[in-house]
Amino acid sequence: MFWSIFLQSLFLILAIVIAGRFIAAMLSKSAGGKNNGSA
Amino acid sequence: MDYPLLIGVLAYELVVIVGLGVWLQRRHSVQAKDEFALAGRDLPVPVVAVTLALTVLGTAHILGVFEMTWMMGAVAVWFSIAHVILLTFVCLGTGVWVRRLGVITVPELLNRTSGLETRLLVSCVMAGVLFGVLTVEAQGIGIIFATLTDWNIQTGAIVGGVLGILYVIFAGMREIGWVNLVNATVMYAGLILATVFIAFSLPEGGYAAIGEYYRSTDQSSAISIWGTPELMVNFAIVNIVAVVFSQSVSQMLLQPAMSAKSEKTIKQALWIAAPINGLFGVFAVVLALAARAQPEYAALDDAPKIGAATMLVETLPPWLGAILLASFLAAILSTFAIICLSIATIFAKDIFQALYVPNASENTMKMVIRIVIIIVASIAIAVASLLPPILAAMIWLFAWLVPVFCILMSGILWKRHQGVAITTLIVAWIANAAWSFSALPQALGFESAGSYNAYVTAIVSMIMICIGNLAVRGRPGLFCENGLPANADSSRQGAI
Repeated sequence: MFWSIFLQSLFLILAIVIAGRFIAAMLSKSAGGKNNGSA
Repeated sequence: MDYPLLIGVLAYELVVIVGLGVWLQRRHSVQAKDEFALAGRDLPVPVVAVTLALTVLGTAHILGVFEMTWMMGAVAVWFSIAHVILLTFVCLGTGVWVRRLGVITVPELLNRTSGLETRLLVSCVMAGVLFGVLTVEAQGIGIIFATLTDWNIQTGAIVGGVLGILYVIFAGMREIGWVNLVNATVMYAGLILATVFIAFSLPEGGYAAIGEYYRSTDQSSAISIWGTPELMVNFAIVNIVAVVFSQSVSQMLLQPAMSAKSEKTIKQALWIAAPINGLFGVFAVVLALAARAQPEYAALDDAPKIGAATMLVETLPPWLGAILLASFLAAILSTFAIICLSIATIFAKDIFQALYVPNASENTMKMVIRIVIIIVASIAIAVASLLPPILAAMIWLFAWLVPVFCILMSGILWKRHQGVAITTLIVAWIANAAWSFSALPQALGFESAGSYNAYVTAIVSMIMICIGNLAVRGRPGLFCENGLPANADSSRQGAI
Protein backbone atom coordinates (compact mmCIF):
# COMPACT_ATOMS: atom_id res chain seq x y z
CA MET A 1 0.00 0.00 0.00
CA PHE A 2 2.78 2.44 0.93
CA TRP A 3 4.74 2.01 -2.28
CA SER A 4 1.60 2.19 -4.40
CA ILE A 5 0.53 5.54 -2.92
CA PHE A 6 4.13 6.85 -2.81
CA LEU A 7 4.98 6.00 -6.42
CA GLN A 8 1.64 7.15 -7.86
CA SER A 9 1.98 10.48 -6.04
CA LEU A 10 5.63 10.89 -7.07
CA PHE A 11 4.83 10.28 -10.73
CA LEU A 12 1.87 12.64 -10.49
CA ILE A 13 4.08 15.37 -9.00
CA LEU A 14 6.71 14.88 -11.71
CA ALA A 15 4.01 14.93 -14.40
CA ILE A 16 2.62 18.22 -13.07
CA VAL A 17 6.09 19.81 -12.99
CA ILE A 18 6.99 18.61 -16.49
CA ALA A 19 3.61 19.67 -17.90
CA GLY A 20 3.99 23.07 -16.22
CA ARG A 21 7.43 23.61 -17.72
CA PHE A 22 6.18 22.52 -21.14
CA ILE A 23 3.22 24.94 -21.02
CA ALA A 24 5.42 27.77 -19.71
CA ALA A 25 7.93 27.15 -22.51
CA MET A 26 5.17 27.18 -25.13
CA LEU A 27 3.67 30.41 -23.79
CA SER A 28 7.08 32.03 -23.53
CA LYS A 29 7.89 31.07 -27.11
CA SER A 30 4.55 32.40 -28.29
CA ALA A 31 4.96 35.69 -26.37
CA GLY A 32 8.54 36.04 -27.66
CA GLY A 33 7.38 35.56 -31.22
CA LYS A 34 4.66 38.15 -30.77
CA ASN A 35 7.12 40.66 -29.29
CA ASN A 36 9.60 40.16 -32.10
CA GLY A 37 6.83 40.58 -34.59
CA SER A 38 5.55 43.81 -33.09
CA ALA A 39 9.07 45.18 -32.70
CA MET B 1 6.52 12.74 26.92
CA ASP B 2 10.03 12.48 28.27
CA TYR B 3 10.93 15.97 29.47
CA PRO B 4 14.68 15.69 28.91
CA LEU B 5 13.87 14.92 25.25
CA LEU B 6 11.40 17.84 25.04
CA ILE B 7 14.14 20.08 26.38
CA GLY B 8 16.43 18.55 23.76
CA VAL B 9 13.95 19.46 20.99
CA LEU B 10 13.62 23.02 22.23
CA ALA B 11 17.40 23.27 22.62
CA TYR B 12 17.83 22.02 19.04
CA GLU B 13 15.38 24.61 17.71
CA LEU B 14 17.06 27.38 19.71
CA VAL B 15 20.58 26.41 18.65
CA VAL B 16 19.66 26.16 14.95
CA ILE B 17 17.48 29.26 14.87
CA VAL B 18 19.55 31.57 17.07
CA GLY B 19 22.91 30.16 15.98
CA LEU B 20 22.22 30.46 12.27
CA GLY B 21 20.40 33.78 12.75
CA VAL B 22 23.24 35.47 14.61
CA TRP B 23 25.86 34.00 12.25
CA LEU B 24 23.99 35.22 9.16
CA GLN B 25 23.41 38.63 10.73
CA ARG B 26 27.18 39.07 11.31
CA ARG B 27 28.17 37.63 7.95
CA HIS B 28 25.90 40.01 6.08
CA SER B 29 26.46 43.08 8.22
CA VAL B 30 27.19 45.19 5.14
CA GLN B 31 23.69 46.30 4.25
CA ALA B 32 22.75 45.30 0.72
CA LYS B 33 19.56 46.77 -0.71
CA ASP B 34 16.49 45.02 0.73
CA GLU B 35 18.78 42.77 2.79
CA PHE B 36 16.32 42.12 5.62
CA ALA B 37 13.10 41.69 3.61
CA LEU B 38 14.54 39.98 0.52
CA ALA B 39 17.99 38.70 1.59
CA GLY B 40 19.61 41.12 -0.88
CA ARG B 41 17.94 39.09 -3.66
CA ASP B 42 20.69 36.49 -3.77
CA LEU B 43 19.24 33.29 -2.30
CA PRO B 44 20.43 30.12 -4.09
CA VAL B 45 18.28 27.30 -5.52
CA PRO B 46 18.14 24.93 -2.48
CA VAL B 47 17.21 27.72 -0.06
CA VAL B 48 14.52 29.18 -2.35
CA ALA B 49 13.12 25.70 -3.04
CA VAL B 50 12.88 24.62 0.59
CA THR B 51 11.45 28.00 1.65
CA LEU B 52 8.76 27.89 -1.04
CA ALA B 53 7.87 24.32 -0.04
CA LEU B 54 7.72 25.00 3.70
CA THR B 55 5.89 28.34 3.35
CA VAL B 56 2.76 26.52 2.21
CA LEU B 57 3.30 23.51 4.46
CA GLY B 58 1.84 24.46 7.82
CA THR B 59 -0.99 23.71 10.21
CA ALA B 60 -3.52 22.73 7.53
CA HIS B 61 -1.11 20.13 6.10
CA ILE B 62 -0.13 18.57 9.39
CA LEU B 63 -3.41 18.62 11.30
CA GLY B 64 -5.75 18.65 8.30
CA VAL B 65 -4.40 15.76 6.17
CA PHE B 66 -4.67 13.24 9.05
CA GLU B 67 -8.33 14.20 9.51
CA MET B 68 -9.15 14.33 5.79
CA THR B 69 -7.58 10.88 5.25
CA TRP B 70 -9.66 9.45 8.07
CA MET B 71 -12.84 10.76 6.47
CA MET B 72 -12.09 10.19 2.76
CA GLY B 73 -9.07 7.91 2.40
CA ALA B 74 -5.95 8.35 0.28
CA VAL B 75 -7.66 10.89 -1.99
CA ALA B 76 -6.68 13.39 0.76
CA VAL B 77 -3.23 13.42 -0.86
CA TRP B 78 -4.80 15.80 -3.40
CA PHE B 79 -4.55 18.51 -0.77
CA SER B 80 -0.78 18.23 -1.24
CA ILE B 81 -1.06 17.76 -5.01
CA ALA B 82 -3.03 21.05 -5.15
CA HIS B 83 -0.04 22.72 -3.49
CA VAL B 84 2.29 21.14 -6.06
CA ILE B 85 0.19 22.74 -8.82
CA LEU B 86 0.34 26.02 -6.87
CA LEU B 87 4.15 25.82 -6.61
CA THR B 88 4.37 25.05 -10.34
CA PHE B 89 2.24 28.13 -11.12
CA VAL B 90 4.37 30.31 -8.84
CA CYS B 91 7.80 29.01 -9.94
CA LEU B 92 6.96 29.30 -13.65
CA GLY B 93 4.50 32.22 -13.56
CA THR B 94 3.76 34.73 -10.83
CA GLY B 95 7.04 34.18 -8.93
CA VAL B 96 9.09 34.77 -12.07
CA TRP B 97 7.03 37.86 -12.95
CA VAL B 98 7.50 39.55 -9.54
CA ARG B 99 11.23 38.76 -9.63
CA ARG B 100 11.48 40.19 -13.16
CA LEU B 101 9.57 43.37 -12.32
CA GLY B 102 11.71 43.89 -9.22
CA VAL B 103 8.83 44.63 -6.86
CA ILE B 104 9.11 44.07 -3.10
CA THR B 105 5.44 43.49 -2.31
CA VAL B 106 2.40 42.24 -4.24
CA PRO B 107 0.49 45.50 -3.53
CA GLU B 108 3.42 47.34 -5.17
CA LEU B 109 2.76 45.35 -8.34
CA LEU B 110 -0.92 46.34 -8.10
CA ASN B 111 0.20 49.96 -7.99
CA ARG B 112 1.54 49.46 -11.52
CA THR B 113 -1.54 47.73 -12.84
CA SER B 114 -4.36 49.45 -10.96
CA GLY B 115 -3.11 52.57 -9.16
CA LEU B 116 -2.13 53.69 -5.65
CA GLU B 117 -5.62 53.42 -4.10
CA THR B 118 -5.88 49.77 -5.19
CA ARG B 119 -2.43 49.16 -3.73
CA LEU B 120 -3.45 50.58 -0.36
CA LEU B 121 -6.75 48.70 -0.34
CA VAL B 122 -5.07 45.38 -1.11
CA SER B 123 -2.16 45.95 1.28
CA CYS B 124 -4.59 46.47 4.18
CA VAL B 125 -6.70 43.43 3.30
CA MET B 126 -3.74 41.18 2.45
CA ALA B 127 -2.04 42.04 5.74
CA GLY B 128 -5.33 41.30 7.52
CA VAL B 129 -5.76 37.95 5.76
CA LEU B 130 -2.17 36.96 6.52
CA PHE B 131 -2.71 37.95 10.15
CA GLY B 132 -5.76 35.65 10.28
CA VAL B 133 -3.65 32.78 8.89
CA LEU B 134 -0.96 33.62 11.45
CA THR B 135 -3.41 33.10 14.33
CA VAL B 136 -4.28 29.68 12.91
CA GLU B 137 -0.59 28.75 12.62
CA ALA B 138 -0.02 29.88 16.23
CA GLN B 139 -2.90 27.64 17.29
CA GLY B 140 -1.38 24.76 15.27
CA ILE B 141 1.92 25.12 17.13
CA GLY B 142 -0.02 25.01 20.41
CA ILE B 143 -1.91 21.87 19.35
CA ILE B 144 1.29 20.07 18.32
CA PHE B 145 2.80 20.77 21.74
CA ALA B 146 -0.44 19.77 23.50
CA THR B 147 -0.64 16.47 21.57
CA LEU B 148 2.90 15.38 22.30
CA THR B 149 3.34 16.84 25.81
CA ASP B 150 1.00 17.55 28.70
CA TRP B 151 1.10 21.33 28.09
CA ASN B 152 -2.10 23.16 27.24
CA ILE B 153 -2.55 24.74 23.80
CA GLN B 154 -2.03 28.29 25.09
CA THR B 155 1.35 27.47 26.68
CA GLY B 156 2.43 25.69 23.51
CA ALA B 157 1.39 28.68 21.38
CA ILE B 158 3.42 31.08 23.54
CA VAL B 159 6.58 28.93 23.47
CA GLY B 160 6.17 28.32 19.73
CA GLY B 161 5.43 31.99 19.06
CA VAL B 162 8.70 33.01 20.71
CA LEU B 163 10.56 30.46 18.56
CA GLY B 164 8.71 31.83 15.51
CA ILE B 165 9.85 35.39 16.26
CA LEU B 166 13.44 34.20 16.75
CA TYR B 167 13.15 32.37 13.37
CA VAL B 168 13.06 35.72 11.54
CA ILE B 169 14.14 38.55 13.84
CA PHE B 170 17.93 38.30 13.43
CA ALA B 171 18.48 38.22 9.68
CA GLY B 172 15.00 38.33 8.10
CA MET B 173 14.45 36.36 4.90
CA ARG B 174 18.04 35.07 4.80
CA GLU B 175 17.58 33.54 8.27
CA ILE B 176 14.24 31.97 7.35
CA GLY B 177 15.76 30.46 4.20
CA TRP B 178 18.82 28.84 5.78
CA VAL B 179 17.04 27.67 8.93
CA ASN B 180 14.42 26.12 6.64
CA LEU B 181 17.14 24.19 4.81
CA VAL B 182 18.32 22.59 8.07
CA ASN B 183 14.80 22.00 9.37
CA ALA B 184 13.56 20.41 6.14
CA THR B 185 16.30 17.80 6.49
CA VAL B 186 15.21 17.04 10.07
CA MET B 187 11.57 17.00 9.00
CA TYR B 188 12.09 14.34 6.34
CA ALA B 189 14.38 12.31 8.61
CA GLY B 190 11.62 12.31 11.25
CA LEU B 191 8.87 11.42 8.79
CA ILE B 192 10.78 8.59 7.11
CA LEU B 193 11.93 7.11 10.42
CA ALA B 194 8.38 7.30 11.86
CA THR B 195 6.89 5.65 8.76
CA VAL B 196 9.46 2.83 8.88
CA PHE B 197 9.01 2.36 12.62
CA ILE B 198 5.23 2.19 12.33
CA ALA B 199 5.63 -0.39 9.53
CA PHE B 200 7.60 -2.65 11.87
CA SER B 201 5.10 -2.18 14.70
CA LEU B 202 2.11 -3.12 12.53
CA PRO B 203 0.67 -6.65 12.54
CA GLU B 204 2.30 -9.25 10.25
CA GLY B 205 2.76 -7.83 6.78
CA GLY B 206 3.21 -4.15 7.66
CA TYR B 207 1.58 -1.70 5.25
CA ALA B 208 0.69 -4.55 2.87
CA ALA B 209 -1.57 -5.98 5.60
CA ILE B 210 -3.19 -2.57 6.04
CA GLY B 211 -3.91 -2.49 2.31
CA GLU B 212 -5.35 -6.01 2.50
CA TYR B 213 -7.62 -4.93 5.38
CA TYR B 214 -9.15 -2.14 3.27
CA ARG B 215 -9.62 -4.42 0.24
CA SER B 216 -11.20 -7.18 2.32
CA THR B 217 -13.65 -4.75 3.95
CA ASP B 218 -14.79 -3.42 0.58
CA GLN B 219 -13.00 -0.09 1.04
CA SER B 220 -10.54 -0.32 -1.87
CA SER B 221 -11.17 3.31 -2.81
CA ALA B 222 -9.74 4.38 0.58
CA ILE B 223 -6.26 3.25 -0.46
CA SER B 224 -6.39 4.77 -3.96
CA ILE B 225 -5.24 8.35 -4.48
CA TRP B 226 -7.97 8.60 -7.13
CA GLY B 227 -10.70 7.81 -4.55
CA THR B 228 -14.11 7.90 -6.23
CA PRO B 229 -15.30 10.19 -9.08
CA GLU B 230 -17.44 12.12 -6.55
CA LEU B 231 -14.46 12.74 -4.27
CA MET B 232 -12.31 13.84 -7.21
CA VAL B 233 -14.90 16.48 -8.14
CA ASN B 234 -15.95 17.55 -4.64
CA PHE B 235 -12.57 17.40 -2.96
CA ALA B 236 -9.61 17.30 -5.35
CA ILE B 237 -10.77 19.90 -7.87
CA VAL B 238 -12.23 22.17 -5.16
CA ASN B 239 -8.83 22.16 -3.46
CA ILE B 240 -6.93 22.90 -6.66
CA VAL B 241 -9.17 25.89 -7.49
CA ALA B 242 -9.12 27.28 -3.94
CA VAL B 243 -5.38 26.87 -3.40
CA VAL B 244 -4.15 28.08 -6.80
CA PHE B 245 -6.53 31.05 -7.09
CA SER B 246 -6.00 32.33 -3.58
CA GLN B 247 -2.33 31.67 -2.86
CA SER B 248 -0.51 32.29 -6.11
CA VAL B 249 -0.50 36.05 -5.50
CA SER B 250 -0.04 35.92 -1.74
CA GLN B 251 2.86 37.92 -0.36
CA MET B 252 3.96 35.03 1.88
CA LEU B 253 4.59 32.75 -1.11
CA LEU B 254 5.96 35.37 -3.51
CA GLN B 255 8.45 36.91 -1.04
CA PRO B 256 10.84 33.90 -1.29
CA ALA B 257 10.58 34.14 -5.11
CA MET B 258 11.41 37.87 -4.97
CA SER B 259 14.48 36.94 -2.87
CA ALA B 260 15.88 34.50 -5.44
CA LYS B 261 19.20 35.17 -7.11
CA SER B 262 17.65 35.08 -10.57
CA GLU B 263 14.60 33.94 -12.50
CA LYS B 264 16.45 30.75 -13.38
CA THR B 265 16.87 30.07 -9.65
CA ILE B 266 13.08 30.10 -9.18
CA LYS B 267 12.46 27.83 -12.16
CA GLN B 268 15.08 25.32 -10.99
CA ALA B 269 13.75 25.48 -7.42
CA LEU B 270 10.51 23.88 -8.61
CA TRP B 271 12.25 20.49 -9.06
CA ILE B 272 13.01 20.44 -5.32
CA ALA B 273 10.04 22.38 -3.89
CA ALA B 274 7.33 20.26 -5.57
CA PRO B 275 8.42 16.85 -4.19
CA ILE B 276 9.29 18.24 -0.75
CA ASN B 277 5.81 19.69 -0.35
CA GLY B 278 3.88 16.99 -2.21
CA LEU B 279 5.44 13.92 -0.61
CA PHE B 280 4.80 15.24 2.90
CA GLY B 281 1.13 14.55 2.22
CA VAL B 282 1.96 10.97 1.18
CA PHE B 283 3.59 10.17 4.52
CA ALA B 284 0.72 11.80 6.44
CA VAL B 285 -1.88 9.85 4.42
CA VAL B 286 -0.14 6.50 4.93
CA LEU B 287 0.22 7.04 8.68
CA ALA B 288 -3.45 8.03 9.00
CA LEU B 289 -4.59 4.98 6.97
CA ALA B 290 -2.52 2.72 9.24
CA ALA B 291 -4.14 4.22 12.34
CA ARG B 292 -7.65 3.98 10.91
CA ALA B 293 -7.25 0.26 10.18
CA GLN B 294 -6.49 -0.53 13.84
CA PRO B 295 -9.60 -0.99 16.02
CA GLU B 296 -8.06 0.55 19.17
CA TYR B 297 -7.53 3.88 17.36
CA ALA B 298 -10.67 3.71 15.18
CA ALA B 299 -12.79 3.38 18.32
CA LEU B 300 -11.45 6.55 19.95
CA ASP B 301 -13.83 9.45 20.57
CA ASP B 302 -13.22 12.04 17.87
CA ALA B 303 -10.96 9.51 16.10
CA PRO B 304 -10.54 11.52 12.83
CA LYS B 305 -8.89 14.35 14.74
CA ILE B 306 -6.73 12.45 17.22
CA GLY B 307 -6.52 8.86 15.93
CA ALA B 308 -3.31 9.17 13.90
CA ALA B 309 -1.57 11.41 16.45
CA THR B 310 -2.50 8.99 19.26
CA MET B 311 -1.05 6.06 17.30
CA LEU B 312 2.21 7.98 16.81
CA VAL B 313 2.48 8.96 20.46
CA GLU B 314 1.71 5.45 21.73
CA THR B 315 3.77 3.51 19.20
CA LEU B 316 6.92 5.52 18.64
CA PRO B 317 9.76 5.45 21.16
CA PRO B 318 10.26 8.81 22.96
CA TRP B 319 13.38 9.73 20.98
CA LEU B 320 11.52 9.29 17.67
CA GLY B 321 8.49 11.14 19.06
CA ALA B 322 10.88 13.98 19.83
CA ILE B 323 12.25 14.02 16.27
CA LEU B 324 8.69 14.04 14.93
CA LEU B 325 7.81 16.91 17.28
CA ALA B 326 10.86 18.79 16.00
CA SER B 327 9.86 18.11 12.37
CA PHE B 328 6.23 19.20 12.78
CA LEU B 329 7.36 22.26 14.73
CA ALA B 330 9.86 23.12 12.02
CA ALA B 331 7.16 23.00 9.34
CA ILE B 332 4.73 25.24 11.21
CA LEU B 333 7.40 27.61 12.55
CA SER B 334 8.67 28.29 9.03
CA THR B 335 5.15 29.27 7.94
CA PHE B 336 4.64 31.36 11.08
CA ALA B 337 7.95 33.20 10.53
CA ILE B 338 7.44 34.04 6.87
CA ILE B 339 3.88 35.26 7.49
CA CYS B 340 5.22 37.62 10.19
CA LEU B 341 7.86 38.86 7.73
CA SER B 342 5.29 39.28 4.91
CA ILE B 343 2.92 41.35 7.04
CA ALA B 344 5.78 43.50 8.31
CA THR B 345 7.14 43.99 4.76
CA ILE B 346 3.72 45.06 3.47
CA PHE B 347 3.35 47.55 6.34
CA ALA B 348 6.88 48.92 5.96
CA LYS B 349 6.86 49.24 2.15
CA ASP B 350 3.23 49.89 1.22
CA ILE B 351 2.16 52.06 4.13
CA PHE B 352 5.13 53.41 6.12
CA GLN B 353 7.40 54.15 3.16
CA ALA B 354 4.80 54.73 0.45
CA LEU B 355 2.73 57.21 2.46
CA TYR B 356 4.88 58.69 5.19
CA VAL B 357 8.66 58.32 4.85
CA PRO B 358 9.56 57.86 1.16
CA ASN B 359 13.29 58.30 1.82
CA ALA B 360 13.53 55.92 4.77
CA SER B 361 17.00 54.39 5.09
CA GLU B 362 17.69 50.67 4.99
CA ASN B 363 18.27 50.66 8.76
CA THR B 364 14.99 52.47 9.45
CA MET B 365 13.08 49.98 7.27
CA LYS B 366 14.76 47.08 9.04
CA MET B 367 13.80 48.52 12.43
CA VAL B 368 10.17 49.05 11.34
CA ILE B 369 9.95 45.49 9.99
CA ARG B 370 11.38 44.05 13.22
CA ILE B 371 8.97 46.04 15.41
CA VAL B 372 5.95 44.99 13.32
CA ILE B 373 7.07 41.31 13.43
CA ILE B 374 7.11 41.37 17.23
CA ILE B 375 3.76 43.20 17.48
CA VAL B 376 1.82 40.99 15.03
CA ALA B 377 3.30 37.75 16.40
CA SER B 378 2.37 38.75 19.95
CA ILE B 379 -1.21 39.64 19.02
CA ALA B 380 -1.55 36.43 16.96
CA ILE B 381 -0.47 34.31 19.93
CA ALA B 382 -3.08 36.07 22.10
CA VAL B 383 -5.84 35.54 19.50
CA ALA B 384 -4.79 31.89 19.00
CA SER B 385 -5.65 31.17 22.63
CA LEU B 386 -9.32 31.77 21.68
CA LEU B 387 -9.00 28.71 19.38
CA PRO B 388 -10.72 29.83 16.15
CA PRO B 389 -11.85 26.83 13.98
CA ILE B 390 -8.88 26.00 11.73
CA LEU B 391 -10.28 24.78 8.41
CA ALA B 392 -13.28 27.16 8.35
CA ALA B 393 -10.95 30.06 9.10
CA MET B 394 -8.55 29.07 6.29
CA ILE B 395 -11.35 28.73 3.72
CA TRP B 396 -12.85 32.13 4.56
CA LEU B 397 -9.50 33.90 4.80
CA PHE B 398 -8.02 32.66 1.53
CA ALA B 399 -11.19 33.54 -0.39
CA TRP B 400 -10.32 37.20 0.26
CA LEU B 401 -7.26 36.85 -1.98
CA VAL B 402 -9.10 35.38 -4.98
CA PRO B 403 -10.26 38.78 -6.37
CA VAL B 404 -6.69 40.07 -5.92
CA PHE B 405 -5.50 37.22 -8.15
CA CYS B 406 -8.18 38.04 -10.73
CA ILE B 407 -7.47 41.79 -10.96
CA LEU B 408 -3.74 41.13 -11.06
CA MET B 409 -4.08 38.67 -13.95
CA SER B 410 -6.40 41.11 -15.72
CA GLY B 411 -4.02 44.03 -15.13
CA ILE B 412 -1.03 42.06 -16.38
CA LEU B 413 -2.53 40.19 -19.32
CA TRP B 414 -5.64 42.13 -20.42
CA LYS B 415 -6.52 45.67 -19.38
CA ARG B 416 -5.71 48.13 -16.56
CA HIS B 417 -8.40 50.32 -15.03
CA GLN B 418 -8.41 51.44 -11.40
CA GLY B 419 -12.21 51.82 -11.14
CA VAL B 420 -12.83 48.29 -12.41
CA ALA B 421 -10.18 46.89 -10.05
CA ILE B 422 -11.52 48.59 -6.93
CA THR B 423 -15.17 47.80 -7.73
CA THR B 424 -14.26 44.15 -8.34
CA LEU B 425 -12.41 43.89 -5.04
CA ILE B 426 -15.20 45.47 -2.99
CA VAL B 427 -18.05 43.50 -4.61
CA ALA B 428 -16.17 40.18 -4.29
CA TRP B 429 -15.26 40.82 -0.65
CA ILE B 430 -18.89 41.71 0.17
CA ALA B 431 -20.00 38.50 -1.59
CA ASN B 432 -17.51 36.47 0.50
CA ALA B 433 -18.79 37.95 3.75
CA ALA B 434 -22.44 37.56 2.67
CA TRP B 435 -21.83 33.91 1.71
CA SER B 436 -20.42 33.09 5.17
CA PHE B 437 -22.54 35.29 7.43
CA SER B 438 -25.98 35.56 5.79
CA ALA B 439 -28.67 33.22 4.46
CA LEU B 440 -27.43 33.73 0.87
CA PRO B 441 -26.33 30.06 0.38
CA GLN B 442 -29.74 28.79 1.50
CA ALA B 443 -31.50 31.35 -0.71
CA LEU B 444 -29.55 29.94 -3.67
CA GLY B 445 -30.47 26.36 -2.80
CA PHE B 446 -27.32 25.24 -0.93
CA GLU B 447 -27.58 23.45 2.40
CA SER B 448 -24.85 25.57 3.99
CA ALA B 449 -21.95 27.87 3.05
CA GLY B 450 -19.68 24.80 2.92
CA SER B 451 -16.23 25.38 1.47
CA TYR B 452 -17.40 27.22 -1.63
CA ASN B 453 -16.11 30.72 -0.70
CA ALA B 454 -13.28 30.57 -3.23
CA TYR B 455 -15.74 29.65 -6.00
CA VAL B 456 -18.05 32.52 -5.01
CA THR B 457 -15.32 35.16 -5.01
CA ALA B 458 -13.80 33.75 -8.21
CA ILE B 459 -17.10 33.82 -10.12
CA VAL B 460 -18.05 37.30 -8.85
CA SER B 461 -14.56 38.66 -9.65
CA MET B 462 -14.50 37.24 -13.18
CA ILE B 463 -17.97 38.57 -13.99
CA MET B 464 -17.10 42.02 -12.62
CA ILE B 465 -13.80 42.15 -14.51
CA CYS B 466 -15.32 40.99 -17.81
CA ILE B 467 -18.21 43.48 -17.65
CA GLY B 468 -15.95 46.30 -16.41
CA ASN B 469 -13.15 45.77 -18.93
CA LEU B 470 -15.61 45.54 -21.82
CA ALA B 471 -17.46 48.68 -20.68
CA VAL B 472 -14.53 51.03 -20.02
CA ARG B 473 -11.49 52.22 -21.94
CA GLY B 474 -8.48 51.28 -19.87
CA ARG B 475 -4.77 51.00 -20.60
CA PRO B 476 -3.55 47.70 -22.10
CA GLY B 477 -2.28 45.05 -19.63
CA LEU B 478 1.20 45.48 -18.23
CA PHE B 479 2.63 42.71 -20.40
CA CYS B 480 0.39 43.57 -23.40
CA GLU B 481 1.68 47.12 -23.75
CA ASN B 482 5.30 46.28 -24.48
CA GLY B 483 5.28 42.51 -24.24
CA LEU B 484 7.10 40.75 -21.41
CA PRO B 485 9.57 43.14 -19.77
CA ALA B 486 13.24 42.36 -20.18
CA ASN B 487 14.91 40.07 -17.69
CA ALA B 488 15.86 42.30 -14.74
CA ASP B 489 17.74 39.85 -12.59
CA SER B 490 20.36 42.24 -11.39
CA SER B 491 18.48 45.47 -11.14
CA ARG B 492 15.23 46.56 -9.62
CA GLN B 493 13.08 48.33 -12.16
CA GLY B 494 10.91 51.19 -11.08
CA ALA B 495 10.26 52.35 -7.55
CA ILE B 496 7.40 52.88 -5.22
